Amino acid sequence: MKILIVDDDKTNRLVLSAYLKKDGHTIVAAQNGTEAIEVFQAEEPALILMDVMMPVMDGYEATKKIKSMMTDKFIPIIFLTAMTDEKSLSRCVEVGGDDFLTKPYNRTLLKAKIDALQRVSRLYNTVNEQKHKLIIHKENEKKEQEVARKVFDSILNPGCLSSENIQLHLSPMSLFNGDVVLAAVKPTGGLHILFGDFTGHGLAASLGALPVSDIFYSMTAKGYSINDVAREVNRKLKLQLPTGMFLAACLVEIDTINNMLKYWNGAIPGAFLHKGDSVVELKSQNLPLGILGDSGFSDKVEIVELHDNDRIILSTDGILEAENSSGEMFGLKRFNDCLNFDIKSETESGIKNVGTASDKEDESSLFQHILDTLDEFTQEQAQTDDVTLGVITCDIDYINQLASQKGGYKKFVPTHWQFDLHFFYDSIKSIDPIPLINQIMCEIQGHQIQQDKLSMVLTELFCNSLDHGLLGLDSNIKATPEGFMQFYSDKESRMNELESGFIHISVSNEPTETGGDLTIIFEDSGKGFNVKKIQQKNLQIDTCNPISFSGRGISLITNYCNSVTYNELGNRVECVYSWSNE
Amino acid sequence: MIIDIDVINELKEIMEDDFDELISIFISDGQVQIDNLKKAIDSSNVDDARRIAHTLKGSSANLGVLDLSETCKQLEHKAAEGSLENANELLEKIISFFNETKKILENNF
Repeated sequence: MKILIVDDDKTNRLVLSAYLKKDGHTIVAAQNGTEAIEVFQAEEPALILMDVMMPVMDGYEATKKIKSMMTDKFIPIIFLTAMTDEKSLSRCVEVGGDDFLTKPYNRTLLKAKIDALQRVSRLYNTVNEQKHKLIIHKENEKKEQEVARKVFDSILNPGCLSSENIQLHLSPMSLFNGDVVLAAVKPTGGLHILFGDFTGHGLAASLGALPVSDIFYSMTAKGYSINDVAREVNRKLKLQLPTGMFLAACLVEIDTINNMLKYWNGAIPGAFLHKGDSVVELKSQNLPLGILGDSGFSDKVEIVELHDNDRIILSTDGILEAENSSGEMFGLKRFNDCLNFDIKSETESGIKNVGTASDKEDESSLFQHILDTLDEFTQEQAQTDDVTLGVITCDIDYINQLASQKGGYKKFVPTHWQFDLHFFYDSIKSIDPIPLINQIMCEIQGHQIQQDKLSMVLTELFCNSLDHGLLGLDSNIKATPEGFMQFYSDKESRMNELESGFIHISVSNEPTETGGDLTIIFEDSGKGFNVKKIQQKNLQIDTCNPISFSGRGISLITNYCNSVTYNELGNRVECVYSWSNE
Repeated sequence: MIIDIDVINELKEIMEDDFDELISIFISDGQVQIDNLKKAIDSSNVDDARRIAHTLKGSSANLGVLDLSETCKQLEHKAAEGSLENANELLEKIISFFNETKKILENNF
């Protein structure tokens, strides 16, 4: 160990350094306090032996200064003193001395004291080092989490959550939140909202939000409706999340064209529509997302009539289960009272304060009232779950304006175009051409062509070409439940055996003022069918026996299309489908 | 006792080659300090007298030079009380102990 000896007397320094060298220490020396400070800075000794009475600067002063220069390392200072009075000794401690040694020096005592202080300083320095490592580790972790959080937020929020008609309160228990709120404008106008609560909280719970937001935003942008989004999210979560982890969620579509609110609610207890004079609960009819397999999943949406400036209130069970200091929960009753409080104040003061987008900061707003009531109830009590509340004001003009602001959804002008696709027998086995056709039309014409009806028409046309044309199946056998099963088992085996044939699809557009007329042609290599007979039969089934298992396809096509024409052979059909971008 | 022989022998053993230097420094420094001490007493400088007596007390104690150390201690205490009464008497004792010590050290070590 490197030891600094500070003494003005040379013989003292000689004797001490002789003793210490004998014990294996390295010695540096100074003759007074001022020199001691210089040597201390230059040599960084691990221990200091300090004389008290010295010229220039005495030991007390030097000790004070050296101790104030020590940042986080512990360097013991032992006073060397011939003084034995209490006052002088206590002064040594006051200025920061750690021990004394009285002259004349006793070698054994000197060694014992140095060893003891060395142990103390080792312990101190180890603890300090570990403390520093911990601080650095914690800082790094915090930085990493903040970066992750930023990445996360930017993935989760490319939508329109910051729109003026959306008031949102998120109080995560940790930096990462198990609650997920997404909002996006539909390409055709209107708004999609997903309000969800993953089982658990923190990082693990929030990870599930990544695939959810991905599906939500991309499907909304492609013009899918909320039931499709719900189905896809459910399928993906069922596939990706571990058992026991799922997403309670309420998906809402604000349809500003038809003034309707569509919703699919899976286990969100606090979902309401505030209509100004009454409150409608958007009841959960489903299990949370990620539990049921695709076949057992119901994507049925509920529909409620919507008026301008109605408000949608969405809250996670974190609010309902928020506890006060005596362990009592906030509960649905208090929550309902909050909603009704607003109604009273409105009816008393006329039609004032129907929470429009502009009074976001208004303290008397419904959103603020719920939060204030909750704060008052819980006081300072720490909550065990994430508390998330959203109030969305259905300001129809504002929402419509949002859609037009969205740069990505620029208006495509209807144009002339045509594309032809040829699928041969082997590619038919592995490709579903309908999404491909939809995608091509999307690329050309944007999202102006509403795809739900068109997809049904295309699917039917394709099935007919494949089933009756290429595979030569007879749909008449579908008339009985047994035959229905037979039909599909035949389809599967014939498909496997298929070794020749093609389906040719052609789609062309003739623009009109508000959209266009699509001419869709399906031609297959099959033998065709007796067109007249089938058409008559379908007419019969439609009117007399609507619960038939077969024949719906062609009537669906004729209902949605302006015209349907078969060739004589029955292996080529041409339909005209009109679309409008309004 | 002028010198504690055990102390001086232990030092000799520990310091080996440095021991001679220690002795010569003790003698030369001691002489300078005694001269300074005389000046301080002559000019009635109590603080200087106290500090020099303190230092000489310490270094002589370290070498086992007991009588000298003890006399320095007496002078230091007097000076600490602010008095230089009997200082010359003590100084004479200090000088005579120092000379005797010097003789012993130079002849025997």
